Amino acid sequence: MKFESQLLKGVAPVVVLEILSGGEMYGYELSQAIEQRSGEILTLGKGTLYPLLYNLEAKKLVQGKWETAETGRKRRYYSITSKGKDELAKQKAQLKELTACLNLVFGGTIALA
Amino acid sequence: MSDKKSDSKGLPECVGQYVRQLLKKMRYRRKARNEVEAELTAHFEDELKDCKSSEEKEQKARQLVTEFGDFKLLGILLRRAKKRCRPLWRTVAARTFQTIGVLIVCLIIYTVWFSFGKPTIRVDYIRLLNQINQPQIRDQDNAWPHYEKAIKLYVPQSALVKQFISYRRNGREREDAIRLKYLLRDNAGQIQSWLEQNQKYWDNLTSDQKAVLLKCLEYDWVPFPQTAYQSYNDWRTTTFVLMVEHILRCIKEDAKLTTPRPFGVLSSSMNPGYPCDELKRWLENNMIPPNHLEAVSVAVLREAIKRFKDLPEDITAPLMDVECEYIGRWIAQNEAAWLQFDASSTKSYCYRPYAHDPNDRDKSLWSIPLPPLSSLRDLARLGIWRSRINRDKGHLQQSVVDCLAVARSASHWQGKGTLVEQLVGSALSNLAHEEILNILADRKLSADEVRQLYEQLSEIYPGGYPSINTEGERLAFMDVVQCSFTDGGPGGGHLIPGIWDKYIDLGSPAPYVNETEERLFMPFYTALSMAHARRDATVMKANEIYGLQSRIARMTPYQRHVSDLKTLDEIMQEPWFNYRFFLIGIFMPATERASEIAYRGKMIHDSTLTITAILRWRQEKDQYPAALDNLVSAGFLGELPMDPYSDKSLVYKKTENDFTLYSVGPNFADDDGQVAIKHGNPVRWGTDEDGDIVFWPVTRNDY
Repeated sequence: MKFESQLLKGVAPVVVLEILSGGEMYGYELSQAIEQRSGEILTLGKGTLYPLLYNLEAKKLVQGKWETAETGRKRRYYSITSKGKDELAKQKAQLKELTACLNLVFGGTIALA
Repeated sequence: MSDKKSDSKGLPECVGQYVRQLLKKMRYRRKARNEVEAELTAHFEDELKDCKSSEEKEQKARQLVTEFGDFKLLGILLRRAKKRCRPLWRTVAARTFQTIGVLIVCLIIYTVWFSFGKPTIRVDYIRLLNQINQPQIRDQDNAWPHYEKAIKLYVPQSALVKQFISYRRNGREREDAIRLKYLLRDNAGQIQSWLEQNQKYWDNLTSDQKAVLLKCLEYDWVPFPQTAYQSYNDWRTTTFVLMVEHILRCIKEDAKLTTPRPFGVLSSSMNPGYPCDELKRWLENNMIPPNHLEAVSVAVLREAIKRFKDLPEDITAPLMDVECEYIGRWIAQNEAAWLQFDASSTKSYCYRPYAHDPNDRDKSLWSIPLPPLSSLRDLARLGIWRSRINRDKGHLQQSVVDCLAVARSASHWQGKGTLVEQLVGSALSNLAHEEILNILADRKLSADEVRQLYEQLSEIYPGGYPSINTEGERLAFMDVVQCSFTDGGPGGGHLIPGIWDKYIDLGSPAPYVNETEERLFMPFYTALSMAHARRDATVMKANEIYGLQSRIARMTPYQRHVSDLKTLDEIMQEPWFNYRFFLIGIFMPATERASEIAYRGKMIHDSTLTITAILRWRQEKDQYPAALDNLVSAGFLGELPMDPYSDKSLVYKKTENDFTLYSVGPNFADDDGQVAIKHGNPVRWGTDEDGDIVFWPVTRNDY
């Protein structure tokens, strides 16, 4: 199932922050994680990921650093900042509220972990 | 961050091309682009690492490129995102530089527009000035046609006449002449003996050779050949005075006559009339006479004796025969010119319309050709010398007539027109009055002649002695403004940068900078123009200053002395005046000084009238009047002569057998009729420190 891009646009930063809250990741790894964690339902466009990461970095919600992997390849690892964690908590709370509202509308079929 | 730049080897060509296009479209800092390139390359490598074959790799790569989307859009998104990542100081710096850049571009556009500003000529100020000066008189009452003829007929002084005249004028030439007079007198015996011994060399010359050498002496340049390798190769020259001194030194030391130290070379640029060509011909044809040096020295010494031996120490003493001969010849040559000048002086008015020189690109009032004032001055001097010679010959009536002609002519140039014309008029008036005072000092005029002189002098200025008129100068400045500023209105009314070059070089005989240099200076001139006050402000300031100057011109020096009016110098010392009002600074005339000169002219005119009245009183009543009031009440004098340096009457004092009449002078203090002395010489017009201006007894003046 694919979501409308406008719908996805609102939740994409929360999804990225949520995944990065589990540990630092580089771009490719992050795109893979999003797909896996969403059961391949959420597929963030490749062209959307990097601008999104840079925007989150500009807002100081994530921070990137260059590291050399065991294979010798240089990668940019992104990790969530404390500000990012606060923002994530805030966004999640808002989504919960939204879900609750939507449950009321749709008869309790939507749940957020 | 070149270390983070990834190596995209091993990736399909479509990926490399995609990344390159994307980075190109990103158009951002190299460091950020390198980071993005490294990150994307790593991403592609990770995506393709599991591909088994190159075909599969190629296929998947194409799919990935499609998933990444349009490289243009992605490039823009990445640029925006990266821009948001930069630190605040970078953003501030970038915005600052951008703002500066925009301002510079605006400034350049404004400067270009500013530089190409053109003036709009709306008012014909020349016509306005002509309207002001044009009198309501018949053409036959206009003096100008006679002046024009006189100027055309005038024969200038020859070099020798100029020399003789210079011996009767305080200055270096006269000092040299007096020194040589004593040298000639003190060594008369030796000189006579030397001349007798060497006369033969002069006598051996042909008449043509003598004529050429005498011609050289007329121009005060003595030629002598330069010797090299036992032959003559060029001419050298020295001045007449230096040559006389050199010969006298040799005679005194009883030494052999040697070649003097050259002062210059023979050049065709010498005064017109100097026989350069003949001398060169002598050299080319080996025609230089033997003992040239002795021969020319004989001529020089004889000429020196002729000129200096009897030169009187009193500068106003009767003229020597030789002076009468040469100056009289010049006067005779100018009889026709003088008749025209004399005729012009009898006219009531002189009107000469101002007009552009058709060959002059500058059409402003400032650049109009003035009347040939130097020729007028020469004609006036001719009149004074006529008077002087007539006086020496005892023809006093004719002497007075000549002076009156000059005085009447002077009045034509006063009180109107340009400041320069008015100043020349004032100077001519002073010249005539000074000579009249010299005639009066001889006390040879009868009571009736003195009365006539008084009446004729009184008639010269029926409306009173004119003060300085600054209207012509104001119109000229307004024309300068019209030609130098763009029109007013939004963004307009600025000083045109191109005019700076013209005005900075004002007064130089030729343009100081050429066109290339002018272009180089243009940015500087543009900056100066931007700093200069705009048209409206300049006109307002100029009107303020001209108004002040007009008031000043009507104030006597004493009134200015006691008033607290700002002088032009004080106004111009205000901060930034010379930058904000540069044009006013260079064009504003020194009206205060000109006004003072006019008041002095009035004073000398009034004092001359007063002296004629006193002398008439003396001749009729056999005594001097007790006070000047007596002259007025008895009808000998129209009004008391005012002293502009005290705002009271001129000081009159009876002495034992004479009287004194003086002004307290520019120090505004009565020094009891004593003239200031500076460097041993009397200062006619006093100084700011001391000295009075004494009209009687007459201080002998030069010519």
